[in-house]
Amino acid sequence: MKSKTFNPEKNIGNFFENYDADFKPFFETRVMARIENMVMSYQMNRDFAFRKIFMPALATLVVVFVLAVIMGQGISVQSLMGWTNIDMESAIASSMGY
Amino acid sequence: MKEKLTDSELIAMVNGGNQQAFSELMKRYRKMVARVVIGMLGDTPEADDVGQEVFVRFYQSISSFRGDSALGTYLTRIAINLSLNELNSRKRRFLFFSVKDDEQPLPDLADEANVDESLSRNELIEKALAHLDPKFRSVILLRLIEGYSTKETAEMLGVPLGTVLSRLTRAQDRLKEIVSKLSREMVINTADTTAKVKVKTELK
Repeated sequence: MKSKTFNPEKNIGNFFENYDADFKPFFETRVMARIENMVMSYQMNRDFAFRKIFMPALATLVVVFVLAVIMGQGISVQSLMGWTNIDMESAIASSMGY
Repeated sequence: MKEKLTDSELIAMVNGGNQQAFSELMKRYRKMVARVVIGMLGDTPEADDVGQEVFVRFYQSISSFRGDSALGTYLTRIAINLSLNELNSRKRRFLFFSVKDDEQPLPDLADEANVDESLSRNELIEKALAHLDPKFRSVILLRLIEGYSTKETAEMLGVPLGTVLSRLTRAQDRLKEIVSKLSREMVINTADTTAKVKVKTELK
């Protein structure tokens, strides 16, 4: 056995020569499986978000868009947000209760 | 796969969606990561988990890896940080049970239960490292086992150069003590086993 001839008092640095360690077999396979799971769950989350958030939001926008066109207001930020064209004078007057 | 592609070429391939290239990188650096993680945590199931986590983290950050440092250094840094995190959480978990995790008492030479019959050099090294405080263990691993310079070790651990040097000196002194004791155990044990075999033979 090597350690019988090893003298730790002389040089501790030599003690670590040829030190070798390794993980359990199929380490790469386990890592790749974890990565694949991670990628799959990322894709699933992305699909879920697409179905639950992006699609309803898009549908709502289309409906608002179509309504704005049908009601003849044209397409503008004001029409999409439901604002009406009022001038500054009448806005001040209405805020003062006249 | 083509013979001897460089790390940068393999990284570019991984970024292009080639999983095989990532497997190749793992094969190259697996043992190096194992030495750091097993040296820090011992040959435990957690060491395997941490080893896996090192490569998963690397995969997640591979697109932002610019190659400022060598890939080995980059992975060693991740491995040492994750191992230290694991040791901290282990410490928290066993706070109320352990004597003191970082400075384990050496086994009593007279205690037969503590004496392993066939301790290989690797096991002896891991056993000796386990008796060291993690901050000393990390310095020994990086400086003496992985062969990084004092400056690189200091950078990886985020401590001043002087701290690395003083930790190294203290760790070496402590290791000499530990290894002498463990080696003596082995000699005693070998002698004991030989004696047992002799007695058994004589009895027959």
